[in-house]
Amino acid sequence: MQMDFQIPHPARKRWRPKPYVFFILPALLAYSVLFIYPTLRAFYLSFFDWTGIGPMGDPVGFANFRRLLSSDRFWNAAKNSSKLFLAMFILQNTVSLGLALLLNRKTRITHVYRAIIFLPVVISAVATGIIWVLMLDPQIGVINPVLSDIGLSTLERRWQADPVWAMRTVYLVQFWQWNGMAVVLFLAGLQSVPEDLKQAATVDGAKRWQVFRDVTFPMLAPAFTIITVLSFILIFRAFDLIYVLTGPQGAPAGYTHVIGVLIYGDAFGTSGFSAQPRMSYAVAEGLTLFIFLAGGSALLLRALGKREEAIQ
Amino acid sequence: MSATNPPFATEVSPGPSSVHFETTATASPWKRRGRKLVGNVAWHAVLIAASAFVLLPIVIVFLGSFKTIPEFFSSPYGLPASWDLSNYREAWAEANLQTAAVNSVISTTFGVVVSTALAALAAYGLSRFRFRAGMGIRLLFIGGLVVPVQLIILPLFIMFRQLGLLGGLLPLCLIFAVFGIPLATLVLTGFFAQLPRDLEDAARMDGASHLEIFWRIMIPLSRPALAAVVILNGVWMWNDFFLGFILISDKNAMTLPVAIMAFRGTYLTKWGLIFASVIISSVPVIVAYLMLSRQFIAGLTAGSVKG
Repeated sequence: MQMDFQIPHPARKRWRPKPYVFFILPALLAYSVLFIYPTLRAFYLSFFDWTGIGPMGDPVGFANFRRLLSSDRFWNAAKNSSKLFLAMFILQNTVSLGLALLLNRKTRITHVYRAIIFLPVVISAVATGIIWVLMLDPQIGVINPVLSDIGLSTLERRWQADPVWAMRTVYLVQFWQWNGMAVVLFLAGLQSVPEDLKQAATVDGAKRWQVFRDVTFPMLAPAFTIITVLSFILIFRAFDLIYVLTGPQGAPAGYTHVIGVLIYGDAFGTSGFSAQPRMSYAVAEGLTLFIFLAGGSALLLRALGKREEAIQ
Repeated sequence: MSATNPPFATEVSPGPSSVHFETTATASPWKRRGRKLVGNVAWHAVLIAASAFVLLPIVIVFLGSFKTIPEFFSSPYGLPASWDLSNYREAWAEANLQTAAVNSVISTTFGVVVSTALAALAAYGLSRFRFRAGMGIRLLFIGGLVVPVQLIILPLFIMFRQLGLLGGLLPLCLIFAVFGIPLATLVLTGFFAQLPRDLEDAARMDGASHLEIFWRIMIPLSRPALAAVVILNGVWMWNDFFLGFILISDKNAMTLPVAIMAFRGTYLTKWGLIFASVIISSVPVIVAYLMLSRQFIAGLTAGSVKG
């Protein structure tokens, strides 16, 4: 090659990018334009008073953040999202864990059960929401007629219009859709428990419960971490399913309003609070959620990581 | 039969058999066998109940998709009077599902192919070279997983409106292509880092370029991870409602979930058609899932386990 005859002179040396640059650059460019830049622009937008339509409004500093932190609607939605997370947390660590323990066998029928239980995870939230509206609807629903046909008509109610039951139906449907995910993640954890360890414990005279507590349970710590962090992120930014079930205002009267739906409604003016969209205010809400999610999942990962080390 | 083996209720017959000579002194063979039978019956009962909880709502929607409006009142959970496909035909034409299905296929395919390709290239660069910014760039990509869509879609909405692109399918395709990157990078960098380097070293001795090594060695070796990425991203893109709902206003650009919700908003009481649309939109994923359920389960959990 020609180059070989030249003595590379520091001043003349042309900058040649390293080969990895060409591999990373396409993704980094696309990601910068359509992900990083919008995220940064969100910070900028949150400091203005702007409806989202027409010319940019006046800069207002942190006023949007102050307003949302003193807004009852924001705290109501935050409370509902937290309740949903808590309900899922309890159900995952009882029902899903129980199912995973039952499914920890290697037989053909076990695979069938497992495949069925996982099925809702692949179905869209729109389909899931509509499926459950058909179950719960007071006019065409299935649950009420079944209750009355088996003589329990006193239990019939307008599930989604009832202030108490509306949120419970959201728990139910959310769990219907995501239970399979938790079961499968717990199963992966259970399958990492060495069989001979359990047998050794049994031989040593340990009771079933003791085997679970001292051998199986500690091995489930990583699965518990993953499931908790994953559902934390998924639930606090959930939109699709809850929007389909209870609409843009968290019917009835905000009892099922969650953060994800609140932000959408404020941004585009469908929240009923005011007909005006308040884009920059919604962006501030989104940023607050972002900071909460990033901080919360970092804290969770750290705390649960320590827990894994402590009990293993 | 070892203790961990499948205890089928049907396999247990009354009467002693050779298996039970090994029973300990603490429980008589009969007692032990009886307890095992009860255990098996309970095992199946719980799992059948869980399966019914999953399947019954789907079955009821399937039945509902064949019903006429009066039938929802006369037999809410019974079989439909006839199995003719008029609801499906009407939904396909009237609810604009044929266009929506094409749009869903286009946007999902574009999003999956482009995001996987971009992430695979980046993952090779990030896992096969050591450089100072590498860790930071990887974190930047993966950190995207905690950015709520509700936040990032607002500036994107404004950007695309300024560019005059809002309403059609293009913004959704582009956003899918980029929003798929964080998960794909997470899974693929993790997988690439585990692959042994011997093959590459041999190839480099033979004078292969990095691109050749990437294409001829890394990609073929990474089929399971690539399948996981395609399934993970494919399922959420196919099922996405939120992004399409915000970005698409043109009726002819709507994806399936968006078209179904639009139809539901306009014709609140055309229940049969709405349920037929739900079935139509779910059939592709369900069929794919039934054929590849193991890969789906492995794929959908791969991202989270790797993290």
